[in-house]
Amino acid sequence: MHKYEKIWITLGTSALALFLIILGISAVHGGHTPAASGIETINPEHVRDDARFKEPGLVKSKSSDHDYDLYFVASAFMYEPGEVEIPVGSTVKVHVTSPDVVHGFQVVGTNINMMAEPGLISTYEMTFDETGEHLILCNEYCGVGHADMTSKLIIVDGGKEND
Amino acid sequence: MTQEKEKKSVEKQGKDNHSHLNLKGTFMMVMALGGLMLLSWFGAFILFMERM
Repeated sequence: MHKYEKIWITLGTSALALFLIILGISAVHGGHTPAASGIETINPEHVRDDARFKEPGLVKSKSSDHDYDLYFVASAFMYEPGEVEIPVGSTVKVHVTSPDVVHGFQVVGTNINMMAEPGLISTYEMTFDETGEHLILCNEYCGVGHADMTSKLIIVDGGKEND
Repeated sequence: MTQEKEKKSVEKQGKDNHSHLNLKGTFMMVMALGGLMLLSWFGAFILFMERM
């Protein structure tokens, strides 16, 4: 075998080994699970009967690991609430579900990018450290009004409570 | 003379022996592609970490 061939085969094989090790560690210790495991389900026809999604929005959290719970209902072709103010520096757990078809939930400029699926509640926890505005948009084609389906997160100093 | 010797040794070891080939260009291309993959991986990773 050529000397160069040995080098690139070794590099390629070790990259594969490294990838499998990282995958193994993140699966066992990093909490990576298949999308459907451990996720909360909800009857999509009765989303409005659930107290949390009756009037979706920002709610002070009862749990100690995050400050607020933010509930969102993504339906054709709108998000509820249409605009949310979040005090800067707070940790927010976002909960999204859909009463009709599959929608997207991407908060531009952040790592929040989930699917809102009928029957499932998708969650993501993150801390907003900087003031500013984040557009929320649907990136799963859901019908004729898909392109107009938006909402907004406004990260503000002090926030609602200090008004 | 040496060429003849090389030819003989190539014939002896068969087509699978590549040690007589000049693979410098191939090697450079393989490394360049690998580098591009690493760079784009780290690019995406840095973007992800910054948005945490």
